[in-house]
Amino acid sequence: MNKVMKAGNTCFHFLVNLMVMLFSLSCILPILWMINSSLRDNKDFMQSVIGLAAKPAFHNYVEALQTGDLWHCFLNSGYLSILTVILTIVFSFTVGFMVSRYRFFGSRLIYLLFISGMVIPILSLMVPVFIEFKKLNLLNHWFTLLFPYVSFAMPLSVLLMENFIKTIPRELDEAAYMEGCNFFQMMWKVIFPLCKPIVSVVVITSFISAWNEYPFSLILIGDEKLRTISIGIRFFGQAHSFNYTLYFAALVISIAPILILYAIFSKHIMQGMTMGAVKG
Amino acid sequence: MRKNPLQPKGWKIGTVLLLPVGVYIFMVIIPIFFAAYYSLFKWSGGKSMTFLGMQNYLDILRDDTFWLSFRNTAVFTLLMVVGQVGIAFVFTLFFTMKWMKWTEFHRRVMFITNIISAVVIGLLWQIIYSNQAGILNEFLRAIGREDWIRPWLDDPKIVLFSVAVPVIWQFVGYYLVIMTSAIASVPKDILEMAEVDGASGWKRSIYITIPMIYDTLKVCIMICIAGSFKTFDHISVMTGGGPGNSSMVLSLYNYDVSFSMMKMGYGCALAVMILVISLLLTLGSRLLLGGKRYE
Repeated sequence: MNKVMKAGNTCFHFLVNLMVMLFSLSCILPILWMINSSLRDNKDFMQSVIGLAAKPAFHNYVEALQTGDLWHCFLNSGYLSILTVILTIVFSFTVGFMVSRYRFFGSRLIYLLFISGMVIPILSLMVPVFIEFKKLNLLNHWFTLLFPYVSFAMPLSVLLMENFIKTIPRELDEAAYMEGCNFFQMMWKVIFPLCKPIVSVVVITSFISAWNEYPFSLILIGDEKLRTISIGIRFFGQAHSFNYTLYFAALVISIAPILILYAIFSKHIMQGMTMGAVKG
Repeated sequence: MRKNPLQPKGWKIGTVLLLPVGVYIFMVIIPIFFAAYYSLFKWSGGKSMTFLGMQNYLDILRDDTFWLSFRNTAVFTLLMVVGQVGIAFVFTLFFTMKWMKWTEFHRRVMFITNIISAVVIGLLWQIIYSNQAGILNEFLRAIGREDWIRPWLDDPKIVLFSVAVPVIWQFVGYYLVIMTSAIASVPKDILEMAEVDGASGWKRSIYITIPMIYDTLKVCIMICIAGSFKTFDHISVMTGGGPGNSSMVLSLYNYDVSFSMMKMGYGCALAVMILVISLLLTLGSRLLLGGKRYE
C-alpha cells in the first residue's frame, strides 16, 4: 500500500513540476519566438512560422530603424523616461522627506493626497485630462507627457521614500547642521545618499512605467515627431502588417531596453515592482 | 510625533513643495473637477456647449453599450482574479514543497512578461492568434486538433476569453513573486518545526502556509481587481473592443465615446461614473476582505 502511494506521489510530483515548467516556458517561448523570427527572412518565415533562424540576419533591424519613425519614437521614449526618472526622484524625495521629518500645516493631507493616487483610477481621467491640456495649450509639446508620467509614478515613490526616510535617525540632520550644512545641503548631501536602496527602486519602477505607458501618449500627443515608442510600434505594425519578420524586429527593438535592464537587474526589478504591494 | 526643533520656516517648506504638489494636483485632482463640470453639458470639443444638467447621466443608464461594457468589465475582472491570483496562489503552494525544482528559475522567468509593455504583449498575441503567422493554430495543427482552430479574436462568443488569456499570462508572475516573497519572509524554523511535528506536504500548506500568506492573498486580490478594472492597453491593441462591441470594456468605451465619436460631455459623465464605480469597488473589496493595508 505504502509503495503504491509513494509511486503515485512521485508521479504527481513529476506532473506538477512538468506543468509549472510548461507554464514557465510559455512565458519565455513567445519572446524567444519573436526574437528568433526577427532574425529570419520573411519568405522563409511564411513557409514555416516555427523554423529556427539558421543563418541569423540583422537586415530586419537595420530596415526597421531606417523605415518609418521608429528610431525617432525610440529616442522620444528614451528622453521622456530618463527625465521622468530624474523628476520623480527629486519630487518624491522632497515630498517624502518633508512629510516624514516635519509637521506643518497640511503635511498629513499632502501625504494622503499622494497615497490616494493608488486608489484613484487615473486612467478614467483620460478625457478630462485631455480637455484640461487642450484649454491650457499643453498638448503636443516635448514636455507634455512628463506631467502624466511623473504624476503616475509619484504615489508609489512617495510611499516608499516616506517609509524609508522615517528609518533614518534625525540626529544625522543635527550633525549635518553642526558641521555647517545649510538646509539643502543637509537634505541632498547627507540624507539623500543614504536613501540609495530605495532610490534605485524608484528609478526602476518609474523608468519601466514611463517606457511602457500607452493611453496618455495616445491622447495627448498628435504630432508625429513627438510619438512615443508604444504609439510608434502600433503605427509600424499597421504599415508593415505583411512583413512579419520586419515587424518582429521592430517589436524586439521596442522592448530591448527593458529586457537588457531585466537581464542585469532582474532581482532588483522583481523586488522593486512588487514592493508597493508588499509595503502598501 | 513632537514637532521637530530643526524644522525650517513655513514659507521655505511651502516653496520646496510647491512644484511637486502642484504638478500632482494639476494632473490628478483638478481633472476630477473638469470631468464633473463638463459632464453637465452636451459638448463635442468645439465652441458650442449646451447645458443638459443630469441628462448625460440618465442617458448612460439607458445606454446599452455602457451596460455591455460594464458586464464585460465585470466578467473580465473576475477572470483576472481567478486566473492571475488563482494560478499564482496554486503555484506558490507548489513552490513551498521540497520536491519542487528550480523555483528561482521559474520566478525569474515568469516575471519577464510583467516588464514588457501591455502594447507589445497585445501586438505579440495578436500575431500568435492570427491565422497567417500564428503559432497557436500551428501548434493545434501539430498536435492534430485542427478542429479546435478558431478565429480567436473575431468570434464574438470567445473574444473576451481570447483577450483575457494574454493578460492572465502576463501577470501571473507578478502575484507569484509577491506571494513567494511573503512566504520567504516567514521564519524558516516555523516551517521546520511543523515538519518535525509531522505536518508535512499538504497539511503544512493548509495549517501553516495559507494562514500565513492570507493577508498577502487579500492584498493581491485587491490589486488585481483595481488593475483589471482599468484594463485598456491590451484590448485596445488586440481588438479595439470588437468585433462589434463584444470585447468592449468601460475604459475603452470611454475613450471611444470621447475621441472617436467626439462626445466630450458624455465622455466626461462616463469618466465620473467609472471613477465612482471603481472607487466603490476598491473600497468595497477592502471592506469585504477586511484589509487595512493602505492605512
